[in-house]
Amino acid sequence: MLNQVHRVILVIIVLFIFVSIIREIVVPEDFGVAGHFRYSNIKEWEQLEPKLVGEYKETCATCHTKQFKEWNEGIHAGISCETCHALVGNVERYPGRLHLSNPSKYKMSKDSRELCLRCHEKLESRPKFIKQVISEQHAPKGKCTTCHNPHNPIKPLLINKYKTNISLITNKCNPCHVGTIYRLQALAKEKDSESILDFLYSVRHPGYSVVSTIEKEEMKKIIEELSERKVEEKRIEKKTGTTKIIENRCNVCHSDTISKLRNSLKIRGFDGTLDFILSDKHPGSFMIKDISRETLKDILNEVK
Amino acid sequence: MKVSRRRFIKMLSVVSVAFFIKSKIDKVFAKEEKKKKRYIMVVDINKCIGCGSCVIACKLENEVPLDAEVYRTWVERYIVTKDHKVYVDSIKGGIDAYKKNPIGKEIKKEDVIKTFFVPKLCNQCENPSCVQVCPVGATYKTEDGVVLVDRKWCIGCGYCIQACPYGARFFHPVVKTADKCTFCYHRIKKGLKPACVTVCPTRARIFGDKMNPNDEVYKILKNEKVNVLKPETGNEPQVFYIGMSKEVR
Repeated sequence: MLNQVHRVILVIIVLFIFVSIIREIVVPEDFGVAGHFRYSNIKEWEQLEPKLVGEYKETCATCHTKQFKEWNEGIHAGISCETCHALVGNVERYPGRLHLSNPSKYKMSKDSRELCLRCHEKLESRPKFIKQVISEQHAPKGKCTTCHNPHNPIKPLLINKYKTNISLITNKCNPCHVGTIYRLQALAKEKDSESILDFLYSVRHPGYSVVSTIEKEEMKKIIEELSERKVEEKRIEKKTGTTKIIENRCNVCHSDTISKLRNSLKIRGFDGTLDFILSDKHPGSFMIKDISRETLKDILNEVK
Repeated sequence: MKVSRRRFIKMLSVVSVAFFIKSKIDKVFAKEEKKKKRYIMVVDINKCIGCGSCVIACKLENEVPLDAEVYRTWVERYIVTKDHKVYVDSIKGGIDAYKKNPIGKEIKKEDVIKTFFVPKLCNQCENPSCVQVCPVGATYKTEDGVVLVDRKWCIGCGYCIQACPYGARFFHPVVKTADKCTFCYHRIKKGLKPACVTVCPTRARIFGDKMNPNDEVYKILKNEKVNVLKPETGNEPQVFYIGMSKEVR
């Protein structure tokens, strides 16, 4: 009987030694140092080479000085170079580090309509803070870069066609007005340049403080050049006085003025609305003080 | 051996001073250990425009095949209608950007209450369920909170892919192991931002160390109203969303 017990114990001991030897061979040394895993794997992941550059001032800007300066001043500043030049486009996709190692062999992609539309195609789900176009209607066969400078898109490239410094207008007026050049052009056809200047530099123009940073003489030259140019017919829509006033004054602050007015008419009633927009409770009341009550009544009637 | 009283007191004081100094040193080292890092990401849903730059950048950086239908990070589109139905789609993970609009075709424009994009990725959970189920110890959480996969050790059984409540893991078609977002571990350890954060044009993704009071994400977690995906799983995900609607799952 004792013999049998000894035999079992012997088998167990032999098995134990056998298993622990195998375990010693198979399980790596660093397994279980900091948990149930191979510790050296952390180093393996760490040592992989990054492919996207990520820092542009020290790398891209050393060669592409002009583009970097434009980009840095414009609204696209802060969007990494590689978002546009490494991910999509007409050349094979190369992450930045390859281009840095051999710029002539690995060319970055550029100038692609598909690329701009990734962000600027009109979509319901896309937040409204980003400028969007319906690509089928917005120069369907054109190249984006014909008119826009992607590094600094506020400055349209078309300005080169003008003799005068028209970028003054596009830079300073476009934040408030849509299509400033065409609107000025249309205005210049109807009125002489002196009366337009008078209006622009008067307090009645809400952007008075902005315009006054432009020299009057310069402005006059711009307006005169605009009036000589051919007007693009489709740009001028016939507008009633109402929409003009709303567009020029109310839309500066409100995004959807007409539906807001209609709402107010429902809630406050006709006279209530009129009283409100002229009262001090309406922060923009100063902008419509020069319009007579009668005209405002007409406007409200039309909106209704 | 006889010890005089004077000698005994001397010895006692020396020993006690030695113990005191040792405890002080221990404390200093303990404090240094406590300065651990915990990498997290904050995603601002209000800022995501669905351009899919992050998806491509991630695939290029981490060598995931561009054509394969597997993603370390992807962008979903949510459409909520008036009858409280939620439509979710993710056309190729958003890699080609969202172009076609289902609104106005399958879904009436008047019925839509809201619609938005949600970028998703591995949540680098505090209690990762993928790590618990791994039978061979091939997936683990590092000291700085990133969940990694050991490609040499993984046997490709796929338990972790099943266990992840966020569907963030997939079977890598080239390496033939489980794979997932690593927060670009090789980049963040060199002081760079993850690839998706680098290329995001609207800064919808913000990456940082939540233990560091000077870090941007620390301030965001302190001041903003943030939420996480599926908090009921108990995984304690570490990707935080600003402006998340309850429809997002």
